[in-house]
Amino acid sequence: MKKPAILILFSALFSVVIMATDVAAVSYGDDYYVQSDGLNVSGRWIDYTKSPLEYHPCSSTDISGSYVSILSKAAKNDPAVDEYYQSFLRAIKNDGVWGAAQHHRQYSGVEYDEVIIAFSEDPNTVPIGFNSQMGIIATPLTNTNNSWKMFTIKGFVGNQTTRCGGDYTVTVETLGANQWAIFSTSPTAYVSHGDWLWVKTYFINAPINYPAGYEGKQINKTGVVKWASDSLTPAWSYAVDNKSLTVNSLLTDDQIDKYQIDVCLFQIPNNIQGDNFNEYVYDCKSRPPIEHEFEQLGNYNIIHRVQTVDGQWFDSARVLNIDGSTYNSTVGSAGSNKAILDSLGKISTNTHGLSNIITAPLGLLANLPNLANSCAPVTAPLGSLGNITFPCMTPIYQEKLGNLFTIWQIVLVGVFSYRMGLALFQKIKNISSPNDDRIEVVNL
Amino acid sequence: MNDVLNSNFLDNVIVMILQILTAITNVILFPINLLIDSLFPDFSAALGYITQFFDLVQQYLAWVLSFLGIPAVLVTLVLAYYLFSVTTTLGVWGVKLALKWIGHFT
Repeated sequence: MKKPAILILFSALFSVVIMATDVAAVSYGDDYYVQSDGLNVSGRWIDYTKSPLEYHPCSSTDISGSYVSILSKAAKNDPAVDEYYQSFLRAIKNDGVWGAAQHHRQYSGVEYDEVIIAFSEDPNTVPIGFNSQMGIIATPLTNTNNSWKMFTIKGFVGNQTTRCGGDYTVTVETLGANQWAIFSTSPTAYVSHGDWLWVKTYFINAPINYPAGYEGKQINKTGVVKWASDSLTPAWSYAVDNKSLTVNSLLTDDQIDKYQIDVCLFQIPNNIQGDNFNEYVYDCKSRPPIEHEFEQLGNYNIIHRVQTVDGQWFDSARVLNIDGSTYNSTVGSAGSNKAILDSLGKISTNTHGLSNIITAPLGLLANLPNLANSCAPVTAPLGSLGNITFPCMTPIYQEKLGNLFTIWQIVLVGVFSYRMGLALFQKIKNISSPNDDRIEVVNL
Repeated sequence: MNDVLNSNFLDNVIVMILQILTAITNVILFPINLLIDSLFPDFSAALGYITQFFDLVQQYLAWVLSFLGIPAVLVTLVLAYYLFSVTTTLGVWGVKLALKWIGHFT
């Protein structure tokens, strides 16, 4: 009988010791941090024909790979958002602090998701703190100029007609006194002015003040690598000065170091076929900026590629018009014409089948205005004698002939303009004749 | 006038019209392309050489223009003239045809 009693006593003592050590491990704030797998946004719609009103949820969309595009799009339509967006880009580029969190809320019994992106350009802003009533929060500075700013990306709120079919809404605010950006709610969190169910952290790239004796998980500090493949910023920025192009990555040095990112710049013809860009690469660096001096003015199709350590490529393309002027990506280099051209450029050109016969000459015609300004020396192989290079003649003519060459060009333009003027006059005359049914087509 | 010719406006308009024509061509010929691709793959490949030929021409055309001393303004003007001939006359012809039909039925 003694042996079982001793065993039971020993077992009980052991359990007490285990429980004691276990309790001791849970210090203040250990269970505040909950990692979110993504950044979901969902809207809701209200049926106003019903009484009482009926509220319906919409499905969630993960925007962790596209939230920068959403912010960029909203910035174009709203000057207030644009001001925050530019500040956000500066924060990323200049070692500011920023983070993203998943907010799960409810309204009239319908649960929905929102995303907050909080940031500050000042790297010395107040660190992220732990608060027993809230959870993990960003607190404001006394000097609001350096304080935390915040985007909230909300889902569409529709009615019985539109239902879930609408765009995201982006709101902005600067955190003042008694305001917080909540990154994670504690199990006992009390949020006085909202209807939050819970908040989870996606990442916080900022100094974090862990509580004394904190033994919980370290907060994820990264989440910047993903962006939409079609977004220009913040993947990269560019500055054009006459014929010089400077391309900067908008990733921070820490991120470039950590993810071993190679930033490559490609200069490719507009009529590229396939997806093998390697033959067109002219500069590839693990640490931007990339600088390039164009020899000729003209339109250049630039592809900026970033490869992460896992081998995944992220591309963003842009047609840059090198016209001798100075502009950069943040000031807004793309005018309305270029915007249209960029969007048209996305139409996939069929490079096979019967349409070739028509589209190939059209492609050549479309490139003609650029070709006249983008001469490259022609090299002809001469077997064992080596190569012979024929240089572009225009600069040589200009140098050797001077004004005579200018007169030649004026005469050429004059004669052709005269002939075209006559032909145009005849054409308009023909058009004005009500009995003329002739149609002209491109003589291929 | 010189500012207009030297600006990219005319170039952009020309490129835009040609891009639209290209896109429309692709859409219209899509079923035929699909048929050729699936039934006559070798013929489709042969047609692909047309693009390569024009790419080759494109490589040397800039040098030829430079050799002949033809300014970019002239190229743009000639292109604009031909595009005007093609697009405007077709548009006017369409209107005339529509008016004829209306006149025929009334």
